[in-house]
Amino acid sequence: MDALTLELLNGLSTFATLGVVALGLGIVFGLMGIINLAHGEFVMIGAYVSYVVHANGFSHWLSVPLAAVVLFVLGGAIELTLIRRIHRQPEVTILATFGLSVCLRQVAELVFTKDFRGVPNPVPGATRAFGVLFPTYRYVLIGIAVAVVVATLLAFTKSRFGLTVRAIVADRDLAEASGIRTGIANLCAFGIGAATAGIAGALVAPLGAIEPQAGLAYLPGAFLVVIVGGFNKLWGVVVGALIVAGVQTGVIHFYDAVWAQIASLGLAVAVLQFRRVSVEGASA
Amino acid sequence: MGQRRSRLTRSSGRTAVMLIALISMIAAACGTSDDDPAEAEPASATAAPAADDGPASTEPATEPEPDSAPATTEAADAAEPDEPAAPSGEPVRIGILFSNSGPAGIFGQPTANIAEFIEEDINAAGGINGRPVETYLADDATDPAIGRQAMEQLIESDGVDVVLGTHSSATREAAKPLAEDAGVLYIYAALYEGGECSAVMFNTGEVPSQQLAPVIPWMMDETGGSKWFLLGNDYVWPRRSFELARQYIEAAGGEVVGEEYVPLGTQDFSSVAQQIAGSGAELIFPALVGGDAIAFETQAVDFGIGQDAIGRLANIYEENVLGVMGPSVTAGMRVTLGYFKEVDNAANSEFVSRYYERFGADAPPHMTFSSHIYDAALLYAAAANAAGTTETAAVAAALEGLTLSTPTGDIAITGSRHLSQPIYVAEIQSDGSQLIVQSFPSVEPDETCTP
Repeated sequence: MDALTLELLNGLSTFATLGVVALGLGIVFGLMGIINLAHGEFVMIGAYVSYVVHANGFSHWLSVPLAAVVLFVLGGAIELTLIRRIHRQPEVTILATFGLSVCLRQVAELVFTKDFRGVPNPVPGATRAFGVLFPTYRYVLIGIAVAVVVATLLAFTKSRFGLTVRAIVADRDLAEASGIRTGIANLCAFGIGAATAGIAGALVAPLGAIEPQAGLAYLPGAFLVVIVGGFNKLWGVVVGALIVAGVQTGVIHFYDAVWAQIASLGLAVAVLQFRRVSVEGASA
Repeated sequence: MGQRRSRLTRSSGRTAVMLIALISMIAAACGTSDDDPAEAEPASATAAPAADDGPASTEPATEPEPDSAPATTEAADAAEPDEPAAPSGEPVRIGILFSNSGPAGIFGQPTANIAEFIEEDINAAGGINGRPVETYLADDATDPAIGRQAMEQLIESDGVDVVLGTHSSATREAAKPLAEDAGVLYIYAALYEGGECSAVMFNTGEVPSQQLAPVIPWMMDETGGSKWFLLGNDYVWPRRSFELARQYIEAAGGEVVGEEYVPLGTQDFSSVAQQIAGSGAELIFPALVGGDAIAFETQAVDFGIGQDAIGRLANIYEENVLGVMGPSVTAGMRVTLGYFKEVDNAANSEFVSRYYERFGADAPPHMTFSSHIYDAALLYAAAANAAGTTETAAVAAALEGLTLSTPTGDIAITGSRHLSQPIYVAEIQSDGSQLIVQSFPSVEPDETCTP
């Protein structure tokens, strides 16, 4: 029973991490149709923000909002200078953002060197709840991640800005013709996507190594979540993260981590086959 | 409108398929790079020796080994008096294939630094057969394909007489055929999984049998623990290490209560931590590299399975990784390797002082990879002097059975073309420094090779 509770909590923390990492990609890729291969590097930069905050003696908690601000500005600048010019050509965005990801890694290497960095856990130790001991920081991570995801979902579904973005997603030309300033909306959407990636980076920083390559590992997971959860609807990220986290935790529990990786890739392939049919069905 | 949307969606579906392919390619590329125990980094951060060494001297006196090299090898360059003649003529070219960028690039700088010492020390001892040596560095970017090109460049453009390698096994497999075709001697000096055997190759890095056979029983005696959990990244080196570890553990009356592998680049160890906690393990042998090691150890503490609860014996944790984990996580861990800069002998103290004197107190630490490259160069010089030529077959014949004394300790090339060498166990202190608590001289590799 305790083992099951722990495994559920593990699954929940995996879900929260995946969800907040994939959220930005859900906006940029799922909604806007921009394939951003530099999304992992946004997470990496977020983690470096928390390292800089720590190195300067400030609290780790400051790094979460700060990473959001830094990445919003950076994301906005990238949208203005790069994405805006090519976003209608998916093949070009793949190449451009791939190049961007290489650039960002190299810049990180120039600034911080290749050495591993780390930030100490701000709340070390474990908390007893539901009859089991579970790391305190993971409870905090789950809380913040869920709050960020919910807030973003609300912003995109309930606010006027969300309505604008959805109008652009539905039909860019018609939206423009109706007087919607698609440029600003795109800028904000991309910036918000980057900002949530920054938050993700700051949140996971105390759980592992910070290095220029650190973002690479997050990219496949984030794409998996978006693919499994489905395009066009941001809440798909939640569904996708839930399914991927469930599969991963379950397979690790019953088999091992290597099979878990294989299983989640298999899941993506299967879902894509299925989804393709359903999309064609819907368009008929 | 519906039509437009569906087209858009379908195309993003298709691109998603492309993406998966692309991502798995990237992941695979990164995977192979990590592939390598050679990942490990510099030894202990703390100590930047400093102080007592004199000016960075280039006289042979600082370096006992080049001197002793010609001496220990019986034959070769006929008796020089005390001062060897300055080498002259066409240089002997020593290629060094190493990882100076990419994930394992973190280990590159110490090796590049040591290349300077290799030139200086061998030349100060009279060169090779009276000729000076020059080193040529080539970076594999932690990528086997680039490693192959780098090997080609060393052989074809630079015209090297020998290649010394410290890089991943994946790069070795990609680059080896070029050395074989060109008949160029290739000394692979990084610690690795063992099993290599080729007419042009010697392997002087630690193999798992050396790091583990003497140390596992010692560890069980020392701690009183006998139930082991083996946790490694999923590739050949951890798997080979665990295969042997299991034998040594069982031979010493211990028991393996769990064996788990995680993919390279794993960030979440919560499920694994839970398995370890429930396994009843008294000791953990983690064969994790780089960021995976940091993620596991920092998370393990909060799951109640830190070093204070379950002792660690690591075979790759090195200074950079241990430094990021921090002493609160690492204090008490034991690490088994063929070299630490804390190795206690006069030649090593002098060498390490000279290293930091030359490259600065905050230079990337001299560690097992750079130390093994240095030793490989000395072995080559001694063998080529003994053979009186740089011709591959003759040098190879002279290498077999060659013995040397270096800052590492006493080393000898075995009949299996590996290296009999000392193995040291360091214990991490509460200030994060490494203290050598046990040393095993002249540990034989359990390898066979008849090329």
